[in-house]
Amino acid sequence: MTRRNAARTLVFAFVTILALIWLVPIIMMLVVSFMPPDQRAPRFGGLLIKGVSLQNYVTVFEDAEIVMHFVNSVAVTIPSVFLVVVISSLAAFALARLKFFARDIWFYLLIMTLMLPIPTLVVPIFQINKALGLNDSYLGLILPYTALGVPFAIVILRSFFAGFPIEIEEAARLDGCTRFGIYWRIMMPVSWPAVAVVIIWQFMTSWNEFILALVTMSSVEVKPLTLVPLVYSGQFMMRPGPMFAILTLITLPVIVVYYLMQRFMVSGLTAGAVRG
Amino acid sequence: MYKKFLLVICLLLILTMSVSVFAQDQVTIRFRSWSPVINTTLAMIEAFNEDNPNITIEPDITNYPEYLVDLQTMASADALPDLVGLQPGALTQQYREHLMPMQDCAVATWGEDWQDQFYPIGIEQARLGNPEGDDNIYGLPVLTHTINMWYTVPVFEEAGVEGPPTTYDELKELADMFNSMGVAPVMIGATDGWIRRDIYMQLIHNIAPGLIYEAEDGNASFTEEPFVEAMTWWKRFFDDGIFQIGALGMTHYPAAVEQIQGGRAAMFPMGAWWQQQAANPNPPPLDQNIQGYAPFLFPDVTGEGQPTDLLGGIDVMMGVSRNTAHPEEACKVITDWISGAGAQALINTYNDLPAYIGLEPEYFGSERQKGIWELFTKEWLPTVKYARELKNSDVKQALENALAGVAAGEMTPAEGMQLLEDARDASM
Amino acid sequence: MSRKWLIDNQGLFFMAPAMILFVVFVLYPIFYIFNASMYDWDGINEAIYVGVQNYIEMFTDDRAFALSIRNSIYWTLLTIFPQMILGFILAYILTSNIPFQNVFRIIFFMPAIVSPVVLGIIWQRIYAPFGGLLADLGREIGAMFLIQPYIADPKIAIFSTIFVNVWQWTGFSMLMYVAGLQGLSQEVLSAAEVDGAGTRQRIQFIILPMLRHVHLTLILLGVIGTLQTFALVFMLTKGGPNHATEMLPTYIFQKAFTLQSMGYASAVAVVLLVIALSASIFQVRVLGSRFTIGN
Repeated sequence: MTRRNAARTLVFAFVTILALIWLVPIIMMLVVSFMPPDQRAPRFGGLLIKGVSLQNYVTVFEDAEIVMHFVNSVAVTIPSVFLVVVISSLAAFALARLKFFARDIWFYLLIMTLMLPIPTLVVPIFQINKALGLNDSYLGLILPYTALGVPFAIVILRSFFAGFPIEIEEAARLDGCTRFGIYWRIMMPVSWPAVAVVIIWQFMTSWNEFILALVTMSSVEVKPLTLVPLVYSGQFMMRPGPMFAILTLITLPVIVVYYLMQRFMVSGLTAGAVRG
Repeated sequence: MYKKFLLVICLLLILTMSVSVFAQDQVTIRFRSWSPVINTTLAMIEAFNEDNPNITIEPDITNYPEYLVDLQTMASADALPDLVGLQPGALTQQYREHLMPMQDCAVATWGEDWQDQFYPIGIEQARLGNPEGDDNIYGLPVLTHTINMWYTVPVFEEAGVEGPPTTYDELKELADMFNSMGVAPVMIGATDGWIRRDIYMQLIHNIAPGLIYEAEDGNASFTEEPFVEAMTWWKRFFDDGIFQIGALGMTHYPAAVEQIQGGRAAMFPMGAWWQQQAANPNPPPLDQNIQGYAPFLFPDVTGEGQPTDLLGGIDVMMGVSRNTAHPEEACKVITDWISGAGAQALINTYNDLPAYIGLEPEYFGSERQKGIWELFTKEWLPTVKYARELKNSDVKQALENALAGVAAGEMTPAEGMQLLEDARDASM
Repeated sequence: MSRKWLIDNQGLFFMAPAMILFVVFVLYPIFYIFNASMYDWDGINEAIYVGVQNYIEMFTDDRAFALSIRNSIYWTLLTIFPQMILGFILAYILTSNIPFQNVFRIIFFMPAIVSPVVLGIIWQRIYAPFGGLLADLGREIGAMFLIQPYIADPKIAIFSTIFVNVWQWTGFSMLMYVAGLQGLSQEVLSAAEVDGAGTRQRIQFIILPMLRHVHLTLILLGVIGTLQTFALVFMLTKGGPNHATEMLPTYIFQKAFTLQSMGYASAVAVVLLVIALSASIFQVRVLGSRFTIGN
């Protein structure tokens, strides 16, 4: 068994080294954010700094409204995730379990736009928001994010719902359960693995979306976190320290959320994914 | 310093809020721009509010590319803020329909001969690109500047170099030496189109002063020899290692600036605005009182003789939205920021040279710093005849593209200039 | 409409919110860009009808457009497959009970959740040929080949940009494969072991075929990702130098919002749309209406 152990040690060493290399950009971000404010052009792009200082974080909190931008991101992301789950699960239920007028046409239309890139629609959505008076408001992002997230979510949820045994549904119907009751009391509670995937996916896309936010949100007060490096790049242009402190601050919440969701995500994917 | 500053702002906020409860005639002016930076803007607002407590100014300062996007968003929603920062030429012309003519405001503030109180280049450029017969001024100049070169004093000293180069041979000799020392000879972040253009404008100015504006108007061809020659020089700067390695993949702001501040550049193209480095918080040693840098004229690389005049123009001007509910108050704010208490607060940060003649910072950190300021305001700025900016945005874009293409070795200088010729013909 | 019809078709009520959003924010915009692509329009002043002029220009005389098509092809091929291969190797190792495997999974996945805006700024510092991480490292250890104009040379800039994308998304592929591997039936695997199949045979003949849904999902998501690519390029290279790293979305943005040619930008958007729709149809054809995450 020693050969096997040696092989395992080798594999372990390989993964460790690779992981360290993998982390370099993130470590660099952290290191530069702790650079003393009057230092410039540190060696190795910033992996080596002379001295450590917290001043950049103080500066950022005094001069930039990180919390406000964080709230903006939350105010856009959470409603869009919520709406996507509700709207797409309703639609997916109908598509999977009900018969209605032009059902297949709707499904194919939706599935066609599965790959619709947001940049394609940035000009018209900008104009629609303008017509509806939604530019510069949270809704101006929430609605398009939801609309563009729904097809993907429907596809995931529909296949999950479709695999649900018909007998249980029929039994519930005999007990006088309405269609909505079946959706709400029977389907949804057992569909959490698929819903989890939808939530995580939608959260990531809404939280990190950039181009639509860039053209929709013109007042600083409503700009979400992804725009923050741009908003303050004029102000902190000459100062890499505060800039990287900002980058660290906008990255931290996502890492924390991911860390907390991590187990959940793998099990969600496993439960939902790939039963060939 | 910051704490004090914050305290003042908080007090001001409380003050304005409590005032607004009592005063009926409280007016709010929204201001958007990329320049001046937010801290300076806040200082200007504070100075303005000392005499004008009834006008609240809400500033939003973002960096330039994003500001352009925001401006478009707001203009198409017909919701331009009361006060906007503008650049002369293409940008101002694009929003002309949304802007209010400002000459009446100027006359009311400074009298009939108001134009004489500004540096001539500022007035001339404020109208840049106006259609025939339209003599309106859609934005009033706030800051002006020249474009030129700077060198890093300690880097020169360490290498035992006496002074800045004046010819191409000297420049090349210095470049070889600095390259071997691991220092960037001329540090340029050529990812940014404007800095590519600045270099080209100085090259063509060296070869044929004034010709490019003729060509822009269709009275000369961009494919003529002087233009191609300037483009060839541009390419040579890359091939001969005058610019640092990888210059095309670097932004001028902030990437090149950081290396400059770190003392890793011998020379760099910048303008009068570089003096503002001294006013930034926590300045690195070179930036303090700009002790580490000295300005110099773009060398006579082409051997045609060094021009005595510099290129320059308006750094930032300000306009008022046609839809503003408070034109008088907006006028008051702008003019204060040009020549009043707000202007003084602005100039005190050495942000750039004033457009209004006679303003000076109240304080210099050193005699040397004061000397540099006076070199710009007394000797260089008054000589400025030609604009740093082009007025036709299509030609301007074509020039930036051509410079990138030629530098990348993807087109010849002649092919590059053909792009400009085509762009001008298409837009005329 | 009779009451009965409504009861028989009550699925429509369930579908209604999705339909409304879809019509307003997807269907209408699609018609909108088709229409807008026929105009010369700066988004502010009046639009001038030009017919198919924008398309003619795009396909005959627009180097930047041609480059962005080329780059999209590079991007698709050079992100999806490396990410899948590396992701699978990592997933295989990290499901074999090595120490700290959970920590490793978190590390490798971490870049995927970081905003590309942030990554663009960080990687500029890594690539900078002057004062950047790789250049300084090269100078220090005498490996001069590390001093390259990674994002300045039009010949290699696109590959440097793609590399960042691979670094960012390999962890995602890994996680999908981890989920897939954990979902595999243990009986089949142990049966194979009893039959004397070696590691390589097991991977090649049993594991990889059983993970085909993961492969397809990753390809699908990879294509979506390619067509969406904006923020990373926008922050890292701005599409330059001289359009060498231009992607369709960055080009649309530049045309629409920097150069104020909303009409032309719409024409580019139509092309992107057609590509995306073809990819969708292809996907529907191959997979049928059955989709992949899910069962």
